[in-house]
Amino acid sequence: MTRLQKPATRPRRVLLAAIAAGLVTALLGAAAIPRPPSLSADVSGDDELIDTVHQLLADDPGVRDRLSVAVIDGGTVRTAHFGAMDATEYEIGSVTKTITGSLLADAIERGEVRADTPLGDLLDLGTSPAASITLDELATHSSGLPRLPMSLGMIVSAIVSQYRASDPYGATIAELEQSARDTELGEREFVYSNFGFALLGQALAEAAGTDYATLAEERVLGPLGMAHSYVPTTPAGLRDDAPTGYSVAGRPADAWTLGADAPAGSARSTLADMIAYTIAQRDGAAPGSAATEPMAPAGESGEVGYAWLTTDGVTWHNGGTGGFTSWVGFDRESDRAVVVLNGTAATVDDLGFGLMATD
Amino acid sequence: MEYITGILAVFFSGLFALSATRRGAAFARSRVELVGTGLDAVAILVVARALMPWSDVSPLLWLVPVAIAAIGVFLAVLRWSALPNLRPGRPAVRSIAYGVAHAIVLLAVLVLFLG
Repeated sequence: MTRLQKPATRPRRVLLAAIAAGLVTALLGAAAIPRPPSLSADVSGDDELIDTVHQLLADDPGVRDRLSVAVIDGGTVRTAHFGAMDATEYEIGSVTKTITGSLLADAIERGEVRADTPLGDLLDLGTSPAASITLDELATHSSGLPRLPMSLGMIVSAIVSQYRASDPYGATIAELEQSARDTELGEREFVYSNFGFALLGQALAEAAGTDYATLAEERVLGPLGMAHSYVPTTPAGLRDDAPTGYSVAGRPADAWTLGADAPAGSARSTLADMIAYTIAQRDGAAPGSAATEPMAPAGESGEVGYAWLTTDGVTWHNGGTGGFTSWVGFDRESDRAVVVLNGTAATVDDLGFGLMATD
Repeated sequence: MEYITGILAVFFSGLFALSATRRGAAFARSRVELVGTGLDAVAILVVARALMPWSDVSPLLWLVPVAIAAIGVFLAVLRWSALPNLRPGRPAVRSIAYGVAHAIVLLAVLVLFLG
């Protein structure tokens, strides 16, 4: 009788074990369900602006966390913070390019460089095609340089950094120059280029006999009183407790400091500082604010000055890093300016343009 | 790019569940193969969880590959005792080398990601 029972008992035990294993797997999986961060409920600022931001974001899905917004009409400033305050630090990403653009306009006014100064006069580019690129071609994204250096190392770095939510940049100036020497130029028409702005910033620093971070501090950030803004170029250069943001997947992202590519996007700032910056650019009071004037066609974006894009009367720039996005813009006709600083990598372009258009 | 990881998670979980059945081209012929396919599914689930833009799609979609993987585990336990450790008809050295190489690749993927 015992022999007859064994075959029936054993499969049942296995079946129970299989059910248990499957259930445990399902429960562990369910417990690990993704929980992306959402827009902070810790809100302060102008009630009407807070409502407007909520309405605009309802049509603009994406991971949210901290967010700071300012709408400036003439001299009247309205702000809204979500999980942040005036002094909360954000990476401003490619809005840094507008600082670099201002540095070029300022250097031209100082007589340090000319708009048509060849890049090869300032950086060690030998007889490579990149040596013939002029500074204003770099500043208007019309240099023929690609968006990024097309080296195998850069491609691998971009893939790995996306995988690890880390900073894909970090080249030295010598490596940046080597990449430029190795690059074949395309047509000299509008192609948005981080590579070009990195070279431009380093060239301007060379012309001034300093490094880019110091140049930005001495000629733009300092004169505008932007005491909480700075340009780190290494992780060690970050201030204490420098915040990090979230990727589009809601994953914590490393800070971006970019190394020699810093002039293309490593600046950090606060809403209060960016309000001062944007008002000064709108009013033509910022050092090198001639950079905001349209100078060349920019395809679907309209026109481009030194970094600044002008689309349907709005002069603007956006920024994005692994964990932050930003948008700054102004319309001199309506006298409105807008600043959006976001603690995630989800775009805020529609929010920026939306705030420019609201009553 | 990010959405592809979600599709891959469903694909590899499905492949694991199929490998635990007795039919079809995908079925595992040994315990090593079954474990390898299961680890593939786990690795891609980890990557998809981290890279998918979960604010743009419902996080409940995560439960789809998880449910498929759970069915795979259920089937794998049922089939485990009927499977040899190594694939019959293949030299043991080759099976072990394949299994080790597979494990190294998976480990590299996870270390790169989590490291």
